[in-house]
Amino acid sequence: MSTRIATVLGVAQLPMRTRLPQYTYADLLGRVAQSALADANVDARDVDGLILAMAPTTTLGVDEPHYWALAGLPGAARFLGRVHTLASSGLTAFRLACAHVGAGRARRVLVLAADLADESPDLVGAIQMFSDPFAPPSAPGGAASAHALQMSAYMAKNGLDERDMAHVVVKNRANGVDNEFAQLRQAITIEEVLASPVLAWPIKRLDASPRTSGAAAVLVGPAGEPGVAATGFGSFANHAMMGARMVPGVDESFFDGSDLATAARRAYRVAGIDDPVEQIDLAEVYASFGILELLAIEALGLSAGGNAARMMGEGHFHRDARIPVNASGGATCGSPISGTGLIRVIEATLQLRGQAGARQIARPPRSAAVSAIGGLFQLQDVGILEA
Amino acid sequence: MKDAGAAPLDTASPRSRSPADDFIFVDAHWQLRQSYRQDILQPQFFAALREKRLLGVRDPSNGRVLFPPRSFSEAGFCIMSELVAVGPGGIIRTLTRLPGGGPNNRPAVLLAFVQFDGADSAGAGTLRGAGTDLARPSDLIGRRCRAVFKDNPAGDWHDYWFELDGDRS
Repeated sequence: MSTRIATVLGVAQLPMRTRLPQYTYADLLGRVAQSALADANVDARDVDGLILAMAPTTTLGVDEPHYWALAGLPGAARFLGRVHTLASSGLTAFRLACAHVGAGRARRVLVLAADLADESPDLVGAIQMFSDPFAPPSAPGGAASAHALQMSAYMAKNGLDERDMAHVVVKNRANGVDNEFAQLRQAITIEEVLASPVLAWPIKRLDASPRTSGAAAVLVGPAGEPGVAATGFGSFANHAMMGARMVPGVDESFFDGSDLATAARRAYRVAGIDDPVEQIDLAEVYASFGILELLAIEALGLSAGGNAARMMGEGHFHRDARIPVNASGGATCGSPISGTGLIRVIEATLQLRGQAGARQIARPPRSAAVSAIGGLFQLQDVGILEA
Repeated sequence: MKDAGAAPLDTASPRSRSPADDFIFVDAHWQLRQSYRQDILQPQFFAALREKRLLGVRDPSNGRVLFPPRSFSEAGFCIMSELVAVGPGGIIRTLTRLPGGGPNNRPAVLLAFVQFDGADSAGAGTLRGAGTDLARPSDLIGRRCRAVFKDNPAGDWHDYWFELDGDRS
């Protein structure tokens, strides 16, 4: 057993949906916090820290809506933090909560995330406002075109075609059928993926995660308490300029996931893992597009560089495989931006507890790797959990 | 950029009721004025475009030449000021095809990232003349191309595009 940093005391998530019109953002935070504390059997008065994981709030009904909820949330009055690293926010916030508890600065820190995708149709416009207005107007401001550039290079380098790449989302959507929290619960075929509208070649609509409303919570406690243990973390940040990460022999991290591999090595070193293929039993990786899952599998050392797509086509990484990846269906079955990294933690925790219901993997897992990516492959987070 | 003008947040719109679920929403939209400061190297960069020249900047911490230039290095945590001529030839590092259509019926385009000769990063632009009906646009990755300037550059990003060279790198 590795050295424990902290313990996952309780987890909760709301079913992911396109619309959750019955809840305000404040409601979502409060309800999911209640559920996580109930899961942990911990009273709200015994929580002494709160970290909010947040994504852009410009597309919510009111901007910065957490100010309408803060005072009543467990731990907020004693230690309060906010993390905004885009889609990695949830995992980053979990890492910081574990660090805070592990350092003895608090006994129980709650991590919360919520998103309401139905409050504005303008997410793409909001994300494009991140772009430097002096950058080339042809530079991709949206995720689909950016990851299409990544996928195109990956296919060319590894001799893959669109059919090879479609295996990822087909596997994930089949997994999502058994996930009662998933937003998309219909299996799809490779032919349906290939026939869906092209967003930016080679990415098609069915390659992409949907816009999602949802909420997630994790209560973190000291290493000595019973529960799933956090045993390692690693992170990395690189250039905002995608083009600076596309250069052979200098920095190809935008194409080969080597930044995420750096974060993984750091996490593995802390957790005492030197052979991930033997020591990791499952992975939950943030992948809003299939290409991100393939790069994550390789970065986590679960396959050699460039062969993840072929292995997946052969059945590796499916729920019944030796190392299942995204047995929950992953982000392509639902991905509230603020919470999607935290949901990776929750799903891994449920698997390690043996409480994942119909999506539980057959072989009792002892360890899990979780990962998340923020921005256009710029920010990387990896965590290791053990039963 | 957000639209300039008017009040920061218009909450004067009538309340709307969603017939599907009978929940009440208040409609709002943003109208905020913003100003964004240009990097101090960019006026020289855009002035060079008017002369049909491409400039990158050397990172003193590692010798890399970055295109387009900016004045502070994320990688080296240092100030960059040495402008360096790059291109016009280069290599396509990756590309995608953006479909046409939409409300303005825009044409399909090939968006490429090209590493100019003399640069250690790739810059974005449209690739013309290669056809937008290629079955596998990724087959063009690794091909040499060049920046082609329009006759009367205005000193902005629309001054040049990429066209393929005949040979493969």
